[in-house]
Amino acid sequence: MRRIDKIAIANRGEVAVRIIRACQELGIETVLLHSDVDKNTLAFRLSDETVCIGSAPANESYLNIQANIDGAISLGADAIHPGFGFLSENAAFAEACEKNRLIFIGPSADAIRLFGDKISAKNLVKKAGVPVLPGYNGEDQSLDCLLAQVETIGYPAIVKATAGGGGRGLRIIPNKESAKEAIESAMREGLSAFGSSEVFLEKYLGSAKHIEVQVFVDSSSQGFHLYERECSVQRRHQKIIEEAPAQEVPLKVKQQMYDAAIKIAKEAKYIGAGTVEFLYQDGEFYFLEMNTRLQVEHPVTEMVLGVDLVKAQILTASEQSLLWEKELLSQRGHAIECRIYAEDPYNKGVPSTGKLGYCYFPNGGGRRFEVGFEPGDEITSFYDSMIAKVIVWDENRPRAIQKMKTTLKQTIIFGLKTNIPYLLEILSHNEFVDATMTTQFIEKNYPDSLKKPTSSELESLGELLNQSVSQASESQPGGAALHPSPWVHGWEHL
Amino acid sequence: MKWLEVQWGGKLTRIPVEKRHGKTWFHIDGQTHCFEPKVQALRTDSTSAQPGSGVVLSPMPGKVLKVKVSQGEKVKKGDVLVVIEAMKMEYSLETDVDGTITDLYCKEGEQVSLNKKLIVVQGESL
Repeated sequence: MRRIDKIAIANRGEVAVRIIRACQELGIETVLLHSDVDKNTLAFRLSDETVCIGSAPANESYLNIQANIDGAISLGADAIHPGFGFLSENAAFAEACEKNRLIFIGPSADAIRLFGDKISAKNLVKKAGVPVLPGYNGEDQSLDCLLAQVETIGYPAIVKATAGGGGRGLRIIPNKESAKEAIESAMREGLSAFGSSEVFLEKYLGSAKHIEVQVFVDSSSQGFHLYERECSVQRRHQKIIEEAPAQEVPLKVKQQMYDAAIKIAKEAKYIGAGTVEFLYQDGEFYFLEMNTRLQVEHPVTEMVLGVDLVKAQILTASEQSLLWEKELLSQRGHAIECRIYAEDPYNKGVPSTGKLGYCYFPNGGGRRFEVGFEPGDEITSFYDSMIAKVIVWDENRPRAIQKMKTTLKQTIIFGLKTNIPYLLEILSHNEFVDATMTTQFIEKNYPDSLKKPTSSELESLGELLNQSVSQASESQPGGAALHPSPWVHGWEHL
Repeated sequence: MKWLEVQWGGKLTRIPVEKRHGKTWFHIDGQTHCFEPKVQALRTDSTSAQPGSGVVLSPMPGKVLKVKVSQGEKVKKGDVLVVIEAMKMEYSLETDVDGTITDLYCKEGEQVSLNKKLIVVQGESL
């Protein structure tokens, strides 16, 4: 057993809060490693200790390996949890941790490097006998070579930054004419987001589902598959809605995916939490990539299985055994996660920045809110615009959808525009309701921004509220008391 | 935030309302709305980014990654003029008119604020 009394968190927002709470429950102290602008966030307020490791731009703070290591050492942390994004899949960071006698809460640097490089990952997967997509991932990165390779693979193809993830540095190439522009754009985005312009090419499936298998290998090398999640609802390859279990995938195929995922983890001598992503189309599945970290959507797995993946990660890092028994791990009911982004659904999803106003998350049975910010906190353009995740569980999928819709309708976020109206549209769409959606779902059904709901009644109401809100008395704590309102009578016509 | 009672759809309803920076936010019937009072004569610049005006403003604070046109260049509706990066995503700004680039107010690598005037396209009909 390795003793962990204090964990440094090299992340921000809701995932930092998620890790802090897991630490609190395990009796472990926390140190938040944060950028200067993030002093004004929930994680900063919740953490036992905090260290400012740099200024707002991620490469001067959250992506700065030495600053994170120095910050963790300065307050005597035993371990670092990288969360997701930022340095979570950076082998050099994992190595730097070990070198400085800090436990990196995640797999070994070797495993990160192996799966971080799409070429070695594919080679390993092929060796494990798992199908991969036709593609090119060679060293020759000249534009001429890449263009020739796209020709061989055929259209549509996809170009991805080798170091990419989270939908960045990735472009679809529908035809020969757009190949050059797409490749150059992916290279640029890869360079700015991950520091490398290297790309690879792949055949692009037209109507595939994104199915991923959660794996976990404990400190005694016992491998668990924690079943699958479906994440087909994606926009520009960024997931928006995730769920478990996946529908419309035969049980037999699911079992093959679980076996493949475990085989891949074993082959790589993997330890800890990881996710093997597949594309599924017409009864066949192909390996996409393995993410060597906690996933944003891990709560849906936690909800249907009744496990705690973050605590499992920490326990595994300290070489303690888990309470899991394979026979007892089974999916029950259905869970859905919606990511709430600060963006304008009526204007191309343009990020909405500024300070959060009043917020209300309607708690209830089977509802879970992972929130990283509170009223008054500022959402800046330096980072991802996700402000919260809403996760629901119910006994079956239709009920879970109904619960999610009810929950989102009652969720209130003032001060910033959010994608909630967009999420509600999706949850009511036929393809989503009958679970036939593919990764093309958004592009196909929502090529344009939503139409803003307007009516003369709404306009008049807005106008009246705008005039009268300043004169109204302050809200009672808890909002319990109704206000005798002098305006009510004047509003009869509404 | 304040609770106000309003008559809505034939019923008396209590709704949360909050005024922030001149905008009024409220939540009713499962939807959040943001009321923006019409501002009169606030713009000092006579050219606003009305659709079809040829004036391209930055839709968000971010960094100019690429300026794909140069002064005097002819462009067609839908052509990409500028690529902006914000929150690690790229956004392409297109012209919504056919015409000629008459003014360039941004350069690659520059940080721009919301609504910063980036490019003016003189429409062909003018």
